[in-house]
Amino acid sequence: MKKYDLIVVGGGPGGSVAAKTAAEIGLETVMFERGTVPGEKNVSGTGLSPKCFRDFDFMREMALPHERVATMATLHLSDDRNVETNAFSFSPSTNAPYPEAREFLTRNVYRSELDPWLAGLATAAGAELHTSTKVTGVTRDAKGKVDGVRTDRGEEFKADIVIGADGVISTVARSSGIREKWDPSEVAMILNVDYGAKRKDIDLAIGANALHYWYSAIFPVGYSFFSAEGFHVGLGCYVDWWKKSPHYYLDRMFELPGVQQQIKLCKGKAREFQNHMVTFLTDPKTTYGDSVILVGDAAGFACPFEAEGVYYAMYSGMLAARVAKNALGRGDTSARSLAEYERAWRDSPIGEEFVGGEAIEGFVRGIGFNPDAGRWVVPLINDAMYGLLNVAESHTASARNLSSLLMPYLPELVDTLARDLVPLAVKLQKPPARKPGARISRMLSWILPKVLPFIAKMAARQEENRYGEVTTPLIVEYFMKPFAREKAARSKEARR
Amino acid sequence: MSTREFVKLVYKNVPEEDFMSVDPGKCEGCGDCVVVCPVFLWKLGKKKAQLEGDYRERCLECGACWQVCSSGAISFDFPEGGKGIVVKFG
Repeated sequence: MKKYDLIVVGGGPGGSVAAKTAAEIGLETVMFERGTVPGEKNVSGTGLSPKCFRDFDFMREMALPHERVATMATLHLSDDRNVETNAFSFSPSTNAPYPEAREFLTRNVYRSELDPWLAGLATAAGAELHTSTKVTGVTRDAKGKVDGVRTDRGEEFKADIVIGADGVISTVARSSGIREKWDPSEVAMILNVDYGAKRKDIDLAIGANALHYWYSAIFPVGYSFFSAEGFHVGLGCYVDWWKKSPHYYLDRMFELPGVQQQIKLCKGKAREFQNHMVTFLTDPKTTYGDSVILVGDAAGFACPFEAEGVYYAMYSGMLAARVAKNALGRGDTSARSLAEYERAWRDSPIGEEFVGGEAIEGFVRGIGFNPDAGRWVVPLINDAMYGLLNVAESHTASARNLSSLLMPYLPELVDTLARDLVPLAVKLQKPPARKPGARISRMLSWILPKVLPFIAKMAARQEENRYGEVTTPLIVEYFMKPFAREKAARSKEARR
Repeated sequence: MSTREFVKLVYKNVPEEDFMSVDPGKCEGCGDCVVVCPVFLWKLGKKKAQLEGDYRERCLECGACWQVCSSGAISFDFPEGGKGIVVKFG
């Protein structure tokens, strides 16, 4: 029996980049894919982020036939009557940190084209690929150490290290004893309908505004994402969230005239119904074991905010192959030796994504995946815009009425700020350069709760400022302007 | 119109072997699998989850039923290599 250095289970982006990297650095590598071709089992939101092209040279060679570059994204808001009330768009910032980020938001592709291309790069680098082969579990030597895998053809393959790139359900993670299935609160289910359309019709109706998010007070956040000759329309939420059939919520989304308009203007024909699970973790804790490394969804490396998975799978695949090479060099593939993997991913863009994990999860659960929050978030945003821009009254009257229009939302807004947004903001802040002094922290914690409620009460009682005509221009001139100048100069310096 | 019409839009190399099952001894009849499955492979009969007989022809292999099953009654494995769902436009 031939023995390999490395076995990779799963031929998605994580597995292929692991196998490609490993083969390139001289490891005898074999990869298994249960589909007849890689990508045959996979569903995605279709968008590859600029990070994929920043961090992987080979990605810049990507030329897939049905790609659409998204240079604009639109967020639609609909309220508890299922009426779309608002839509906002954004495009790449001209100040974004690197060229690809300034050029596009995502490059939208199909997995049935991306995955085989990536797997081809792995085999071209020298990795062996077995398709139509399901791995049923890991095998163990006489001492109980993982030493390979068994396939559903009854064959055994041996290697010193096994990389599990086998998705949310990960047979490798479970059969090697790294973990059981995820908790339902850690996994989301995302279902969508794929439509086919003519390129020219999508060009006309959608163009490069190819990412649409549908935030609602009725259904969990939905999306319509467009590639060159097709598009996905769907939504998703935590698997433990659904109280009714997912179709109930999908139907509400499809009832929106804005969604129907997109389908009709593109002359879309429904081609395929799809569903898949993605992990939503606050902090991945089960990413390796004795002789086993997990990458991508198997490790729980999807971004907990937007569920982006492909980039994290590719990046962790690359790290896993390098760690495998180092461990084999040391002659030690124990979990202790492979702990290098966790240090590597924590110190990478993957780890960065999870710095704010718990706070991000709070925000996603509290607002993003929570139509109940939409019941007041959507009208609040709408009333703010309406208050500023409506022509139902004189603009003088509208401006004076603005605060009474928005005040009713204040308690819920502040509650949410306190519960979901403030922890997120605090968590995502850069740690201070100088450690805070314990005495000053204690003093602040003592004095602020005594002073602030008093100021709050006074501020809330203030009906009018008699001296407004004098103080407002002075505040703008002598406080806001110098503050803005100083802040802008400092931020410019920091970027340099 | 309901999106339920779309659940037939699935391409398959129908697996020959079973890859899912439910243990009625463990099933607590909570119905979470019935709710979550977007292609309606589960129903409750005598307060126990029952898998539709033609599930091999319709299952999307997402594993959501197995994932939500808190009593551990549902076993899920992928179909044999080369068989099962073929996602053409994932």
